[in-house]
Amino acid sequence: MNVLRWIRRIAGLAVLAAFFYMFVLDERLAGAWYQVLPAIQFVPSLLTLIAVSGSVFAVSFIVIGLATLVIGRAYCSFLCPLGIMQDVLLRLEGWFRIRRRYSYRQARPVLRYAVLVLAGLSISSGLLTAVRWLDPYSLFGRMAYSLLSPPVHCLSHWIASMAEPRGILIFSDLAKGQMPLFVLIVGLLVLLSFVVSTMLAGRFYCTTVCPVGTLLGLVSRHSLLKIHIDADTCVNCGQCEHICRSGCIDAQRGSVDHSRCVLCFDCLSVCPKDAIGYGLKCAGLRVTPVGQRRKLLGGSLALAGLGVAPGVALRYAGVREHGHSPVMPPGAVSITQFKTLCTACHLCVSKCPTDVLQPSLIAYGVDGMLMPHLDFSRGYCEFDCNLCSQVCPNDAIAPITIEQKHTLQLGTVELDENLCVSYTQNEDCGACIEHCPTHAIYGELKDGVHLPKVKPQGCVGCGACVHTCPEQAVRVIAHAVHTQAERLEQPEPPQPEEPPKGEPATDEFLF
Amino acid sequence: MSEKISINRRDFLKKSVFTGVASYGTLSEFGTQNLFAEGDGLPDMVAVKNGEPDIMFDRAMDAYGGMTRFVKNGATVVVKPNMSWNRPPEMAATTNPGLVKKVVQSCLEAGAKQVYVFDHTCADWKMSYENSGVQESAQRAGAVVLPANDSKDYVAVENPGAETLKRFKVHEQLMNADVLINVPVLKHHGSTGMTAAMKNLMGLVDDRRFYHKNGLNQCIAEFCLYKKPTLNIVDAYLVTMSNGPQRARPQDLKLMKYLMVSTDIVAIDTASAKILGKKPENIKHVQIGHDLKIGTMNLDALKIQRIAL
Repeated sequence: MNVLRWIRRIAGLAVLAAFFYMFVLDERLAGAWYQVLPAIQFVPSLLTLIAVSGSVFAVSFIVIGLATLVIGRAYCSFLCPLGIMQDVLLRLEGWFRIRRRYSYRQARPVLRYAVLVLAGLSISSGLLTAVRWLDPYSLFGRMAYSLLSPPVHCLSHWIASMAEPRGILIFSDLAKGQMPLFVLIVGLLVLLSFVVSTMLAGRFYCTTVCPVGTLLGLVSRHSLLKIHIDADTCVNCGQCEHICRSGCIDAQRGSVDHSRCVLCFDCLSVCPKDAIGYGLKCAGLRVTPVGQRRKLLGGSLALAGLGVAPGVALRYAGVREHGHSPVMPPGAVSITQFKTLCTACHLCVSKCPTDVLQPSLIAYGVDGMLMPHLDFSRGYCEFDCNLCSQVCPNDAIAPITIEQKHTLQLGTVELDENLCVSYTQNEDCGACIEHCPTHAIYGELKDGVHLPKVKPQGCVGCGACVHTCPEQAVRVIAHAVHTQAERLEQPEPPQPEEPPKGEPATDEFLF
Repeated sequence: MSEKISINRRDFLKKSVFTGVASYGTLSEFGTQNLFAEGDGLPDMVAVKNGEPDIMFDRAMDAYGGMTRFVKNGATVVVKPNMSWNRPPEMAATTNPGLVKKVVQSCLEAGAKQVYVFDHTCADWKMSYENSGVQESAQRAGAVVLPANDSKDYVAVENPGAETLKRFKVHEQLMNADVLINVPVLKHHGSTGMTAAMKNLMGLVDDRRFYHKNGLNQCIAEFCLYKKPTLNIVDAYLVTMSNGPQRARPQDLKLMKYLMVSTDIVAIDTASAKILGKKPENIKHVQIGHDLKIGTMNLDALKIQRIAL
């Protein structure tokens, strides 16, 4: 029995279960221990450092780097949800016998380093588009949200319909509205590409595309503990090569490419001669000749440049000038900062209790596709809720207190009197008045009708009025930079129309 | 919290001993009449003041013939509190949880087979149910609390007597129920001037936007043409006098310590308007309700029993 492989499998399943719980099941994880798991992922942790929020999780990527120096790329099989998901896919494909037998693949350094450089430029330039589509955690998060939550929510709807008459409401918590179609389509396409890539070449994404993998690979090739093949015992049967999901074992030469090995420990199990071990023994390090290095660097930079160009073009082509800016979640600070830090992992979307936070299509421009925005046709931003800012692992939605949120202005309200029932029909409606948490929309009694009036300076842009208005007469004009709302002075309680006969605590009645 | 309650209880005990001794003579005449007379002897409305909500409720129901008058053995009951907003109980934007608990208990004691509690909330229902404290207190009392923000739980009904609200959807449990007990909280309301018994019934309907769009006050009143609650219990203990219905400041609240019970929904709202310091005829849905003969605004024509604790 191979203990290491079992540890890997159990740890992987535990991590995947925790992610499932986070993205699909628990609606309100406020402050819970398991929000640690997304926060210690490599890219979120790195971005937290840039966000300068002072979060302790910023050290996580350094710890991961140091750990890789000692034990190799264990991160990719023990902590990375995308890596573990691919392991699960591989297992399923094994069961259905639709997986190819592996063989050693040449490393593709130009592609790998180009992607790495591209990701690096993407983070440092603040144009996060590339990372949004490459970061393993965010790719996984979006898939989990878009593909796992609909069936789970359908199921919970069904269970809830049986549980509710018995007074059990816990299953009702999960019932959510329908997901926008494009989110589902993107999720399916990404999953499909992973199904194909794992079928054809195992952990191809992790060994060739993933920038985190490539970066950790640079470290793991010098790691203290490694997989090694004992040349004296090896009979060149090639079984280890055929089982290697990373395609990094060259059985002919008896060598392992440690920059690509993700420590699945399958080879240890399969070797009939116990010739493969994991430990300190160092097989001779192959160093790329200097001339080849220059070529590598040049090629990588050129490719990365090609990758950056369309992103820059998209950003400055003014795509997002169309229509209004999106309403950003409270804590996003500014559109520039939000786009610099948000990898669109959709953890906030999956957690939003009122369903107002939704993935956007091109509200942030094509470069900001799938970033979350407030969709008031779906819900409103609850005044006393800051869940999205609590769960965001990148601090793209910076942590804010409920108190801070009460005066945080995401945008200001605008009332179209030509559409408003109270103005056009001279009838009480007041839906906006009663829902407004700050009295920025208030009623003014005129000829017996409560006419809505607006004090935009007091508006927080929560959209409660937009969501409830029966005639779409109100809308929120979003700010590109969130500002402070005024605390409005409320009029003192009006004098009673009839002088009270019986004050409280007397025995006289008012009627 | 518990300290506050115990002080109030002590106060109550002191007061009830004094009033009990002082009114011994009157009680023996008046009280027995209430206990034994059916129908004609009972008041049209009972108003109690100066007590805690649960205690006022007990006194009111005693004077009103007890819950068994409305809830028969084996009945299915819907208790409709106001738990429409994500506000804590101390802000009184929602019905006093202690009162709801007492109402549910009293229905079950009267022999109710099942008591359902729900509200089509304005704010997020999970937060509102939980943070208003009503869900927990109703469940503890033995009620089944149901969500009511999903259209699938509603069924279409006809309302032939109405001018505007002719067809609408009500919660399916309302269709199955034998008894509807309306337990609103009295508040100032930015859209209608006041919310009490009639306005509270909006939480039984699926499409609230229809109301807002087509004459809010008319629709509120016309719902009562479809169904009048078996009993209305208005919680006017801590009353939002201004900036209602949900984000009033502490200084907008006034400790009035009233509770009314009545089968006449217009009359109980008329009394409520007076507690709020408003002219009842200025609350349009109350006036429409009176005009549609759903009930009467003429409190002088009613037999109102007033109990000051």
